[in-house]
Amino acid sequence: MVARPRRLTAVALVLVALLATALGGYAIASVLEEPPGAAVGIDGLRLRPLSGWAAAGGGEIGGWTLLRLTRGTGNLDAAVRPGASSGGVGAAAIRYVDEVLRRSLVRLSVSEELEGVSTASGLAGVRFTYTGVVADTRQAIEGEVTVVVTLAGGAVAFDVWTQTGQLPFVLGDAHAMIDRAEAA
Amino acid sequence: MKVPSRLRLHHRTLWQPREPAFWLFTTTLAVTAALQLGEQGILRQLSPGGWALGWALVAVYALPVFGLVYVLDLYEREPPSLLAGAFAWGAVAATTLAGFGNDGWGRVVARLGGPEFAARWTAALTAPFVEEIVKGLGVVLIVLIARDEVDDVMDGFVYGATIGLGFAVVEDVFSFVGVFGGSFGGVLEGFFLRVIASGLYGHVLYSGLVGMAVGLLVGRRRSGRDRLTAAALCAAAVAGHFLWNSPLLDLFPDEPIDGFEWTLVPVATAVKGLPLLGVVVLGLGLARRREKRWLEEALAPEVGADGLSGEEFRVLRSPPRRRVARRAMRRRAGPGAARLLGRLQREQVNLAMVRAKVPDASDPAIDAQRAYCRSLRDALLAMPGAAPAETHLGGR
Repeated sequence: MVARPRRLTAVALVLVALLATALGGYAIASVLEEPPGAAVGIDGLRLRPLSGWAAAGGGEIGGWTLLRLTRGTGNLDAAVRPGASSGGVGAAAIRYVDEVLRRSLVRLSVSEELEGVSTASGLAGVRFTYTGVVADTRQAIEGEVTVVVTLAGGAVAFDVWTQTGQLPFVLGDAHAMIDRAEAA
Repeated sequence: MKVPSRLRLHHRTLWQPREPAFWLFTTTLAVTAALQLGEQGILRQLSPGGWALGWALVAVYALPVFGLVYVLDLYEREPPSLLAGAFAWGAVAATTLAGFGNDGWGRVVARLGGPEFAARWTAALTAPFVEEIVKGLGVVLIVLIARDEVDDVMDGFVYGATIGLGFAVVEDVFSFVGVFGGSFGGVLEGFFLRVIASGLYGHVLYSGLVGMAVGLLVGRRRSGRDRLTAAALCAAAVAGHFLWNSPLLDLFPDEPIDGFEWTLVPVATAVKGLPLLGVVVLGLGLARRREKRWLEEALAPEVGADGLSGEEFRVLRSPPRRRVARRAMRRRAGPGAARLLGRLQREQVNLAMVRAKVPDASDPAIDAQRAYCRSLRDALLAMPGAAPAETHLGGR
């Protein structure tokens, strides 16, 4: 029979190994994090990608102009729609759901409540989550959308989305970039 | 005749509250179960029918695979509660912890290599290490909870493969809904690609190899080369997993797969998976020979003593002969006698275990186990029809 102190030591080592494997990557990634790079932007919106993120093209859907940032395993779509702030930020959120999400996703399910948020750069808005399946690739995704209105009367939607199950893992980076976003 | 209770040399159950490892095991399972239930809830919300069909299909796959893994250990079957714990560790704890680990180390890959490199290589550079470690630590915890139950390489394989099976079924269901969309056709496509075409090559093999390494290091027969062999087994598991997840040797047809291209899928999976399957089959063959040799060496001094006759030894050395003997007993004396013969055979294998665990042959534990075997034999011979003229029982 192995002595109890040895057994305790063995269990402690297993615990350390589990924690290092599951969480060690976050610690090392935070050490490797570099200052945000050069700003990228569309229609008066400026974002600074964190290290590991890069612009991956853009486009237009339902009247919204999109800029996509990606980290490989997660994406942040910044979408701008001039003149969409009439009716307030809640109405702009509904427009984003109808004009962007419903057009690109099937089996869309949107959270019922809007959460009020304000960013470090002074933008105020609402936040909601959704799940759905990308119509053309059949990939199931989940996302979180933060909608703000700008002084110029436009609306900006920051749509963080990943494959189902991965969203919590990219929210930290995404919120940091949304916090620093500047909208004219 | 009353049969005395068996010698308490084995823990036999997962429930070991006096072991610190038990509490780490159960606490980790409880915390990760809450997270895993949340994830399953999302999948079910996305596609209730696809989620249910996915679970039904993986059950069709998992039950026979588990049966195959279970019967591979010919000499001593593992306790059900420990196997259930191993499966739960793979399905709940390992999948959840790997989710965090893959993401955290994926960030490191993205920071160092940039998004384009990360999109191509993250799965190969994170999952093989993260997942094999968290699954392998499950085997280590089982060893720490019930040390006596992991006797050798084959035991390690059984626990490792069971953990891998638990991991695979949860990952498959996630994939059916999360990657293939959760529609009826999508789930069936996912089942073909992930289970029918690839099911032979995945987590069961990787974790089985890691489990063999653990079994080698804690087993009853250790030699100087074992550390090296264990390291090679772990390296083979990680290398096989790396190759599977990497873009290397990727012969998969591009999506959408049509017509004749479906026949290329099993070829593509075989190119990546067959070499590792060969390593595992070879390893299992060697492990089985090692186990048989060990049993023969451990029991040879017992032949002719109270616990084991010469004829019983001859039968015991060969699992097919053991099955034939039980079937013959069932025909002669009924199912109760056959079950009792099976119990006697298990306890005679345990006699070898006892000999391996006590410091010398005069240890009272050996005498107790011999007496227990003899009492089982006496009880069996007292059953009508159990002892014909040419019997393999009591022939000493």
